[in-house]
Formats: sequence, structure tokens, C-alpha cells
Amino acid sequence: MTDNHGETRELVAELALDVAAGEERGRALGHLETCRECRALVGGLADAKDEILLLAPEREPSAGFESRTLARLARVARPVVRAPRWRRILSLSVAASIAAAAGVGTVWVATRSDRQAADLLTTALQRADGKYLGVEVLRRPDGTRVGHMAVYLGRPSWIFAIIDDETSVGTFDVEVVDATGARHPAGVLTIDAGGGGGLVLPSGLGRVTAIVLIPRDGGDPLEARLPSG
Amino acid sequence: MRSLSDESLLAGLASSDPDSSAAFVRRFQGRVFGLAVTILGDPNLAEEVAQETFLRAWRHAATFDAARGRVITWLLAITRNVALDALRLRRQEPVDPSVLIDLRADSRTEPETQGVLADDSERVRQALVRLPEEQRRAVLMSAFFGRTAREIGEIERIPLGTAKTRIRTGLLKLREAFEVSNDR
Ligand SMILES: [Zn+2]
Repeated sequence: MTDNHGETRELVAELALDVAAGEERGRALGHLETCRECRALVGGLADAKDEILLLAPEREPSAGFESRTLARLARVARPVVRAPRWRRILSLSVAASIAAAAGVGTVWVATRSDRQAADLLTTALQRADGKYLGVEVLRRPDGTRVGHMAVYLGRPSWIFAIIDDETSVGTFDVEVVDATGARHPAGVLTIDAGGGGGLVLPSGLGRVTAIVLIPRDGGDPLEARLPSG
Repeated sequence: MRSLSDESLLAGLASSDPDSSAAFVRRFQGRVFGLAVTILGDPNLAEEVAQETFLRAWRHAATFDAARGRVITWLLAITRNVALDALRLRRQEPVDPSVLIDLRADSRTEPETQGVLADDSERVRQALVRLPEEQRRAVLMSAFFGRTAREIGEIERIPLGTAKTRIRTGLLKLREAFEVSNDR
């Protein structure tokens, strides 16, 4: 038991009500780790607080609240429902070998089911005579991760971007960065509400070091860097 | 759905089962919205808060521990957190929370509410009524509006130590009432 027992006893109610603040809160929380007696007291007081909250009068929200709430739930729940996005993408012919990247030791951490899909498609890649296939992290300039980009350099070359949330849905001008840092326009890519979008790149690209997506409606460019060498 | 336990409905919500989710929202929307309105005073903002509460319940359903409490208290704790976040964004004039809560003998609890719940609420209500007014106000301002002892001191124009004592003494008395009801 530390010296803070007395100070914590003074603060138990504020801790239970979650209105304690600052250093005194920090010290008291530290003390609670070691003192069963204080912990039990705060727990009992928190139960009393819960009972107080139950005294708030019930009140029905306006008509349609339930359906509005369920609609919102359905919207945010969708990314979970569509989790095996890789498999969905596999159905797109252009992406027939994207998930193979998961099997060739890139940064992509695949789930087991994705990996199974990847195994299937590794075979496809071997037949495709590609120079490069990888899945790179797609980032904002500040380094925030927004998704992944599958890049295939072969005949033809293509990219497929997959974003983690809905904030980056939209149309992008695509630029390919070569080894000298020069940028080459490579077409337009649209990321749909499903979170993905692909593009076949023009032929005759030199060594590609990065791919940049520039949002048509402004905002941060998204960049995927390819491994050097 | 009507006969399913709160815990079963929460599990259904967590797995995004449409029927359970609808039943869960229907069962608790009155309490969640009621608390949000009590805290915020603004029905439009309270609806946003209530929606956000159900979203968080869905997201964090796995953290619910039936051994540590009931679904309703867990849900109201979330409601309070979301509402207090909203309240901090638009700081309002201090309200005397006693006027927002019906402290008269209970006429509100619906028949289907479990007997235990009704009993506990009634005891806490009676204990609140018996508290000296200044302690009751201090406890309710903290419980509903997240007011700190410092803020209560400023609102009531009393020293910080006095505000702290009012909160502590008041809540300790309420806990006694509550524990009596649990020791049966
Ligand atoms: Zn202690």
C-alpha cells in the first residue's frame, strides 16, 4: 500500500463519477492498482452512479429514430461484412493475379483465406511472365495509411487500389514515378463505394519507383512506393 | 425477440444480426435518448448522441462483461460519455439537475421492468430525496453533467474542499442505500 491511501480516499467519489482530473487523478489511479480496499470502494460508488443515471426519465426519440440508427449501423458495419475484399476482387478479371502478392512475401499480411486465394493465383502469376507483383501500402504525405495498392508490372501492367475506409472514395489522376523522380501521367482511376478501383497502365514504362494518386476534387495525394532494387 | 434477454440481443447486435439489432435499439432507445436529453437539453443533439451510442455499443459489444453489470448500465455509461463529449463542445449554462429528474415516488417505471431494477432505482431515488439539497445537487451535477469539484465550487461559489466533500458525502450515502438493496 502506497502513501496515497489517504489522498485516494478523499477522491473516491470523483473517481467513480469520472470527474477527477490532473495529477491527483493520476496518483489515485496508481494507488487503486495496489489497494483493494480503495478499488472496492470506487467500484461500489460507481454502481451508485449507474443507478443515478437510471433515474433519468425515459423518453422516446422522434419517429424513425430506429430505422435511421439501423441504417447508420448498416453503413458502418459494411467494411466488416466486406472484409474478404481480396476474394471479391478476385472475381474481377483484371485483378486475376493481384492476391498472389500475398503469397510472394511482400508487406501484405494476409488472412488465411486471403492466403488460400493467393496460393491459387501464384500459379497464374508464374504463367504471366510478370516483372513485378506486389502489394504496397498506400499513404498520405504525412504517412497515414489509407489502404493498399496492388501493382503488377507485366503485359499489361496494372494497378489496383484498395482503401480502408470511405474517406478516399473518388476519382484520381494517376502518375507513375520513374527512377529519376520524373512523373508520367498514366490515366484516371476511380475508387468506388466498395473501396476499390483498378487501372491498366500504358505500356513502355521505365523502372517504376512509386505510384501517386491525385484526387480530382482536391485533398492529399496518395502514394504507394515500390521497393527499390 | 421480446422475450430474449438483454445480453442475447447485445450479442445479436455485435454480430450485426438485423433482427436483434432492431430489437436492441427498440428496447433501449427510450432510456438512451432520455438520458441524452437530460444531459444535453437539446433533442436534436440528443438524437445524434443516442445514435452514436448505439454505434459504439455495436463496436464495443465485446467489452461488455455480464459479470460486472447489466446491459442497461453499460449502455447508459456509454451514453453519458458520448453526451459529455458533445456537451464539452458547446458549454452551456449550469443547470440544476434536480429539476430534470422526477424525484417523486416512482410513477415512471414500466411494468415490464424487472422488479430488482425497479427496487434499486426506488431506493436510490429515496436516498437522493433524503440527501441535503446541496449534496444532492453536487452529486447530480457530477453524475449527469460531468462537472468537476472545481466547476461545482465555481458554480456554487464555495471553496473547492467544500465541493469535494459534498460530492463524496452525497455519493457515499447513496451507495449505502444501494448496498442495502443488494444485500437482501
Ligand atoms: Zn487505498
